[in-house]
Amino acid sequence: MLKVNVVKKLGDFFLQVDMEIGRGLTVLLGPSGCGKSSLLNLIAGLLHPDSGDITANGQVFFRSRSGRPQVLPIHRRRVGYVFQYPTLFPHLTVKENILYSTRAKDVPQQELEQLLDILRIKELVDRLPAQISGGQAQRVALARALVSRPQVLLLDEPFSALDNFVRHKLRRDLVKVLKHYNIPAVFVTHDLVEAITLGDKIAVMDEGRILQYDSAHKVFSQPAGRKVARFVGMRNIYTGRVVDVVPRQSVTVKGEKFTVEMDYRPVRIGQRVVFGIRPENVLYLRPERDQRPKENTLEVTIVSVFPQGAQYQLLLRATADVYDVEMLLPRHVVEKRNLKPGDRCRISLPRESLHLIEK
Amino acid sequence: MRKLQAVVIVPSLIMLLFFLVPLGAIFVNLDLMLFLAKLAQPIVYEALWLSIVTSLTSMILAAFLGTPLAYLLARGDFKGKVYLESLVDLPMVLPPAVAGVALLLTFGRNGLLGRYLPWSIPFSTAAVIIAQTFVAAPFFVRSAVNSFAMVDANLEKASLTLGVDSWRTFWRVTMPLSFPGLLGGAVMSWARALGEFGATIMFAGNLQGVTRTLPLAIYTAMESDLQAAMVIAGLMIMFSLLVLIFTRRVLRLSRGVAKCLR
Repeated sequence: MLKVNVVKKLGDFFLQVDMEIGRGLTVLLGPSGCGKSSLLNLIAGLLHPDSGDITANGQVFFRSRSGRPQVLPIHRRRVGYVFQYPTLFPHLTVKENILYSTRAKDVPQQELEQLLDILRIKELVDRLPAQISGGQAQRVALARALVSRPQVLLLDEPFSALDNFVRHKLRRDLVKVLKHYNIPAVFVTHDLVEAITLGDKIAVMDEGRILQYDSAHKVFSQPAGRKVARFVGMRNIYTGRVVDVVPRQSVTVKGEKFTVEMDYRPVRIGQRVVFGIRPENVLYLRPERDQRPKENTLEVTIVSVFPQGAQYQLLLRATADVYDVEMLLPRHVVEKRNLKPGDRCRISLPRESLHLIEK
Repeated sequence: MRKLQAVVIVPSLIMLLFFLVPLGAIFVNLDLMLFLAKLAQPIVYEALWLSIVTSLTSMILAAFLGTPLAYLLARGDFKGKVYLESLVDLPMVLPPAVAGVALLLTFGRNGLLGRYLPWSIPFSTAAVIIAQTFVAAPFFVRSAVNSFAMVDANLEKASLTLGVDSWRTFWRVTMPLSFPGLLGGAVMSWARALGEFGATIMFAGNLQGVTRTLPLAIYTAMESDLQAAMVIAGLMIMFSLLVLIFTRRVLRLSRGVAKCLR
């Protein structure tokens, strides 16, 4: 168990974090410059907080006191650190790199073999870092960190410099290898997909603060606040006022642009709320088939159509604004229907896909 | 293309000849018998011995005192670092005569420090070493700062997180990776110390066997025995060339290793 409660001034904002990190993989998700790497550095001891407490399994890493703070030097913290770019020692072979740590000699041969097996680096042990690929280098760096018997593993965007295919494989390797090491692992990334595929838990961070710290599913479907919502891809966000509540059934919200009905939430009539829907959850109603009444239907005008690979992004206007709703549609739908700017169409905002973001 | 070739090749040839002809001029008038005969004269062999001892001592002093300073300048983060760096480089661009005056005013009998010392420094072998170290050490420090700065600080951080303390990290990571640069710097400072003339003659004087190094011996011999001057000059050229080739070898070796390590 890792406990972090720190304050640290970083440039023009304060890093202010109070969180407990348990076993398993926790993803720190946030835009660049939000302080997530600094948080890792504080845990590792490469940076010191202005004040606060950091403990791992009861061992004090940092503690402010009157006078000089109590600081455990980096080399005694037993934190494994995998950097964004491989930091293998260029003058040592892969094997010498892996066994570099002073604690490496305590690792039984069998465990070492198994680790090399899972990470698929057994054949590389006699090579020099210059003779292996970037993905291999990060696997070696991961092995090196684990062999140092860490009580916490810190990973600072370790796969971000690699190409997509290699990144996918490495994520799988990481998950596999962490099953054998039952320790808290903190994985920093700004990539939403990476966060969702990896994390048991996700902490969304912005400007030095943790905005939401929940299971990956919950962060994705019930973002706490506008910033998190935007960050996890819920790009249609509206403000409104609750006009009707039917207990255990539904809530009706009169938005600035349109009125919607959504699943029941504990809110009061008259309360101001922020709600949203993901672009991929907006339904396109086919004129010839979807005639039966659907909830939250809107007549809209298509403002623009942008191809995005396998799908199209459509910006739709329901009021006098530039656009009101973003919708993602599969390529074939757009092409078969020949949807183009200026066309009118009907859409539905399914009530189960509408989420209350702020109360 | 042809125009470019002409523009590159002709000036290159002129430049090369400009270097080589004067160096060759010394050897044209030398033969082995003369060389050996002059080598046996005290003015020559005493200067040779003195130069070897003092320049190596200066190099070692520069390396021992300069390495920590270079590390501080490369890795430290403190106010006024830029100014400190320029200060360290200053003796490199200073005329040696200025260094001579400065050293006399410091270590002279009534100098800033000299007045408190029980022994007299000027006109001793110690003064030769001080003068050489003063002008040569910045060459080592500059090169060492650069080679320390070239070592990725993240490698040192990685080492610390692996449970290796900063002292051992220095010896296991920083030192091996910056060694080629340190060696290059040491050779540069040695060469500068070997050639030191101005500061030495002002601060240490020109006493045979005590402070008369090879450059001073050439200067002295020029007035009476041109052939001796020639022999000494030839000696210094060969000496320097050998050391340069040797370090190139060692450097290329370690650079090659460093390259395939990277």
